[in-house]
Amino acid sequence: MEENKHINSALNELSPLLEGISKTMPQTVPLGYFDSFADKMLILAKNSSISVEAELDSIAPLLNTIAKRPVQSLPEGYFKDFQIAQKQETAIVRMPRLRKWMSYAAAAMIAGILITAGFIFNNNNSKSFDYAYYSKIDVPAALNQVTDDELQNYLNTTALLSGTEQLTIPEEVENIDQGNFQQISDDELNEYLKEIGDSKINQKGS
Amino acid sequence: MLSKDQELVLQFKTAANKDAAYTILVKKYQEKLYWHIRRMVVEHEDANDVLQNTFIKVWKGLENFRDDSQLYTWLYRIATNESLSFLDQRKRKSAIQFDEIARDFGNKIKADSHFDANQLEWKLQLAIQQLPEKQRLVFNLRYFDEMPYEEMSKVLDTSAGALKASYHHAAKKIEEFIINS
Repeated sequence: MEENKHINSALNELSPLLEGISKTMPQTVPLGYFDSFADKMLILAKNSSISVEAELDSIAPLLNTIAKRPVQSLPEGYFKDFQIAQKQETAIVRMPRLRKWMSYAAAAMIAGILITAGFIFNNNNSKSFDYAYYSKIDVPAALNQVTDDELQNYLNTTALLSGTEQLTIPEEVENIDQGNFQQISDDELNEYLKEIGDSKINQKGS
Repeated sequence: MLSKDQELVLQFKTAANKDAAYTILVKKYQEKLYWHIRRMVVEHEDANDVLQNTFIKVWKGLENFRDDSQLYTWLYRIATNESLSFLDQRKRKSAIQFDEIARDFGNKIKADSHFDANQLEWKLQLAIQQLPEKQRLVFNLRYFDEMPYEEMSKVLDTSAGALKASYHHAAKKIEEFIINS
């Protein structure tokens, strides 16, 4: 009772409007609903928890007289050896992916192919010019076997390849003045000839 | 000294007095539980179904009822759970949103043959239907059933502080609704 007074005074502080409203429900209940409810409820409750045997007894009593044990047979020792099969985990199938060693192997293979190809190419080049063979050739004898026409053809071809004589630049020689020439002493001439001679020797030597 | 409820429980556990004790118990709590359920499910037919299910659960469970909790708290707990289960089933079947549920309940209240839009009691009923389900339960238990927060926390499995806050929010919302309607 004290609790109810406290609740109502608290509600008055919270909302005087709500405190003033009647708590009687405006909705109605069918006439006499609560009068017989408890008796009806007892019947309902009893029926809800009626035993399986009692229920069957009221419906088909014959079925209550039949034994309920199973008539089908089981493999011998079935329950003794019964084990719940462990659920096998689904194997995880990895998507094929390029492994590192495969990349390295591919690179090594390409490098190997390149090295081998280069090696073969160099070997073939060195074999194409056999110096030992050419050093043994008797050139004068071989030249004797060459015909004049072949020589002429060769000279024509080389002349064409090396250019004509007009293309060569003639060495410029200073015009020597006769008067000046007589003024040159013999010693100077000898010295000049000596220098020319030395320079030609040097050119040949180099 | 045993309370009347404890005596009823003891009698129920005695086979000879079981039916009589159950009938007394139903008669004692039928109206309180009915209105508690009806405020939640609105219509009489639905309230009748939920009330019957509640008392069937009481019949099956009272044998194992322990004296360490109050009988009326236990009864309210069963009635509340049954009401919420009923509302959940209806929501799943109709798959409607909260706003539509509130409108649906409002329409059901207005459909009552005694409905009077000018009467404060009816306005209050309409306002209560605008609240979320849990808040509605809290408001009903406190306002109509005048249940202490400690008991309510046993019925709703919520702390007394949270229930007090919920009740205050609900009361303010209802007041606002009534003033503006």
